[in-house]
Amino acid sequence: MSAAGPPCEVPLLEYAYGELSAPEEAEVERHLAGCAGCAASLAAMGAVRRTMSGLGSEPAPEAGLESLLAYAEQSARRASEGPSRAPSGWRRWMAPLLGAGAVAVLALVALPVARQASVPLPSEIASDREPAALRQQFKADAKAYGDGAVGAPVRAVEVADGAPAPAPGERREAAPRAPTASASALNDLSGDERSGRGVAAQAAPRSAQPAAAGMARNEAARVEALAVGSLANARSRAVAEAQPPQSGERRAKGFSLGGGGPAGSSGFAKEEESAPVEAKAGAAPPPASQDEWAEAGIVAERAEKKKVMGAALHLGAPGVEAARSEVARPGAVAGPVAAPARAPMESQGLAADRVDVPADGRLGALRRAVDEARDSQARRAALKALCAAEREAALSPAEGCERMEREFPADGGAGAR
Amino acid sequence: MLAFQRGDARAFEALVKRHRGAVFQFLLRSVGERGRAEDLLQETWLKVVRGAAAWEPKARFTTWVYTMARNLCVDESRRAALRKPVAGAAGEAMGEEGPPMTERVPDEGAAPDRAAHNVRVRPLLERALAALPPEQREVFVLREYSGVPFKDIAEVTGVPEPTVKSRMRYALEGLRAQLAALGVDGDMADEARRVNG
Repeated sequence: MSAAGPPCEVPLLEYAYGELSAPEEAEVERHLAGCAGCAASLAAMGAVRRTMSGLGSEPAPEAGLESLLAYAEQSARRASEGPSRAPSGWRRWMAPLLGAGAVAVLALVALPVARQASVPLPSEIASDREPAALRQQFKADAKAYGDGAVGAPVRAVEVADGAPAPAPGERREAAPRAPTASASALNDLSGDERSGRGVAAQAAPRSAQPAAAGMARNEAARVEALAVGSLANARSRAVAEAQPPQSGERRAKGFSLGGGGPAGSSGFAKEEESAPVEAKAGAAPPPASQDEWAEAGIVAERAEKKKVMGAALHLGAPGVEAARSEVARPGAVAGPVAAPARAPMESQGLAADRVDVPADGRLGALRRAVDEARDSQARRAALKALCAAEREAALSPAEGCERMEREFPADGGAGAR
Repeated sequence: MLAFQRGDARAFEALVKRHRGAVFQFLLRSVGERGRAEDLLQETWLKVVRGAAAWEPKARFTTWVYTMARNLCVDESRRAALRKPVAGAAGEAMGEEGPPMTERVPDEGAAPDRAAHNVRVRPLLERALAALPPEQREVFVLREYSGVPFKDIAEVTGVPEPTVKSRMRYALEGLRAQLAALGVDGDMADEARRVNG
């Protein structure tokens, strides 16, 4: 085999690979029979081919065959359906425009709905915001008060902050009342300045409880409300005097919201040095549940030491509860008109709380309230409250009760019972 | 192919069954690696499906398929040259730079006797094949392993048929010399045929 080919012009390569026709093959075979060189070349060619056939024929992989046939079938189906019609010019442009329009319409419809769904109801806003706002308000008030004259403890704020979050039902109750208490204090502030009083207010439960001995419940409540309202008046005014008001609302604050429990809420009271205590409130057992401790009160724990007296009334549930039933009426307590200290209790606004104060201080305040009473009605109310407090403290002799029986024999100290 | 153009998927299946193995032989001997050859095989037939609409009856289907397969081999050899300096057989076959195909050892085979043959003879045969110039190797592979006639090889490679036959003669002469140099004699060739046969 020679690269230049056999000297003979015989198509040996085509003959070797069988690409000749039968006549051509016959002719080559005749030539090979008589040409040793061509025969040797053909033999050498055959030897190389046989050797290289040792590589064999590798089978084609089966992998991918099915997918290839499926793809071909799909392509054939499309081909049998004919060529797809190309979209015209306006269709090419309209498709994205229509899609964008659909998205815009969907957004216009969905956004307002989503916004409405996310906006809370007014009641929710009130219940959610008021406690926090009031807490801030009372903080500022307590700070102003504490910095102003007496350095009163900020216990009310601390307690209010530390109190557990009220349940939704509680929040809805407490929130509307807080402005009530503030409003009442604001009204009281415009009252008689000469009757500054130390005040202790106390939250009262709303649920009915057995009547206190000796006095009808409503009557006792009236007495308590009157006393507390008057004292709140004095306190607020004293605060205003000690601390120049920074705002219309702030000067009138004296209450803080509580809600944590029997000792959860307390307030501060400030009193002028010579201001007598006007009223007292009867004592009663603790409220039935913590939910009923919802209103703010005014407390002065160290009033006597600092010439500014805060009187704390440890008001009990039965009497105060009845008072709240009247005083806490929305129409009665939310009056914006300034009311004098002895305005009817419906306009006073009552915020009461159970406070933990020494019995001596409370009784002293009640006694001063009795001494400072300017008319018989207030004196009778103060005496009733004092008598009740004395009975609660199991004092003997009970000076208040004795004076009650002596000065108002018709009542007989029943209000204290 | 005309039937497939008209939407007959079975016609395409028949084409695949008829030519797929031969195309694979060409790809395998050209790139020298089964994995790459399988990928190129699938790609070749996908191109056939995609280009079926453009196929004209005046062109032989065989020529058309091998032309696409050869072009893929050329592209693969270029990519291999970019991936690493060590180029594959395709690059070498298509005129690319790289180590000779004889340095690659295939791993085909399953049976013990075939495995033994692979270990002993196949590397030598592949080395001899890889030693051919690319233009001679592709002609030899197309004719010897894929059964493509010289006339069609001329169309696939784009050279005149006499040139193809000349390259074939040189390829045969070169293989003979390589086999002799590698010590592959007739007995080994007979053994190889017996094992593979």
